[in-house]
Amino acid sequence: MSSTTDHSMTPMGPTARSLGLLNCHVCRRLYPARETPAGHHLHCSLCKASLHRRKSNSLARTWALVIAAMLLYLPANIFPIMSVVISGRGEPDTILSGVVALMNADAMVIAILIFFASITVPMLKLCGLTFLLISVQRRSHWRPKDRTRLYRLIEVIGRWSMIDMFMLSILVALVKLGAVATIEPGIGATSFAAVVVLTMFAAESFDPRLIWDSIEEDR
Amino acid sequence: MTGLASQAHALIACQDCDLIHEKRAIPDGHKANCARCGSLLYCHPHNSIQRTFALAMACLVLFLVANLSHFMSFSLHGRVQEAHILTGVLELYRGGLMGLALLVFLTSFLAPLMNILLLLALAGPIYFGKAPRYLPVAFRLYEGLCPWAMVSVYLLGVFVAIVKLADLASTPIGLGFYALIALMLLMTATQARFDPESLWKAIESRR
Repeated sequence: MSSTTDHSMTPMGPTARSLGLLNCHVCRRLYPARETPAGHHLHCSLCKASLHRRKSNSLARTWALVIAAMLLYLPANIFPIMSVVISGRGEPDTILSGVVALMNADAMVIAILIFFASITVPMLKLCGLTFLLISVQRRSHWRPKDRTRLYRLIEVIGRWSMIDMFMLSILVALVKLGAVATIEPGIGATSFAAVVVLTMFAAESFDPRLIWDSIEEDR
Repeated sequence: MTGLASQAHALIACQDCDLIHEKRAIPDGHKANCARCGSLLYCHPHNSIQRTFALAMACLVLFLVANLSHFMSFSLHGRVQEAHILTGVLELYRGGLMGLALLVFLTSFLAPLMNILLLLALAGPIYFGKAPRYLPVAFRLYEGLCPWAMVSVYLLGVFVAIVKLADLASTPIGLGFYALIALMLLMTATQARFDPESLWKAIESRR
């Protein structure tokens, strides 16, 4: 799987859209676009998926999900995700204070990992998607290949933000020893989980082909 | 250009930038990338279907082991508590965090299990030369669940939990931990082996 085959076709060759073809997003077969009555779609004859030229309402949907995620990003970072109480003493931990606690406990590698997964990744996703949305709406011609790469990166790294949530589920399962030690999940955890879910849906609803569309239309 | 459009079956469009490519025969084990944006067009892993089926069977066994035996335990003042994936879900639910419990259940249990079963249901019939009607639906479900199956992320969560609890009490790891590591590696290998194109070819040849 290491070597790749290069297609020698000119990079600015025809697109499915310019040839009037619809690309089945499931089985990748191409079909000539035909007029359909309003509210009806063509369907792939092989896998029965409905055919669309582009993901429907991609920009509006992605904006809505990104804005919702941004709003929830605040409570996710302000409110504690859990409180660890040992022998009656303990204090609530936010995401950031959890990272600081790990640094103080000399667990530097884990601290960096959590910082990356819980703070860098959600920020990168929100900022990256906002940047992609604005650049598409401004019909930008700036480095389309790199913007497509940024999109693929956003798609791939999103899941890693869940580390903190999984750790929390493990801690609450392990530490239920009554008076000695308890771990209480906090409201920040739900907000943070919602941010992860919303940004995953946002990445899925964005259509990277829009990056290339305006470049072709303006040629 | 109308000439190109009439041969739609010999063409493939890049999913990320829409550029049209002519499909070409590539050697087993190679892959073809888009000339413009570099995203994957298609690939032909060696013996895709046989290996997917065999690996998915192994994944299923590991999934059972990973869930039936605890992956770590926690002992403090003589009291021992064992952790399974599902006990974590249950405790979140009891703690009042319904949404989070559901999300952890979906990403660490339901989606990985469904993906393994769906891969068996997809590769199995094709391996035996059949193409049942449910294949396209099963594939779309599989594809939709892929981003939500997070065994590898869960495993890192286990590592972090071990470090967090290290100075509180002893946290010996159990058999489930090793099963989780093996499951993560095997699931990655299985999904990389699976070539959806063989699915569509099998359906086309049955018509």
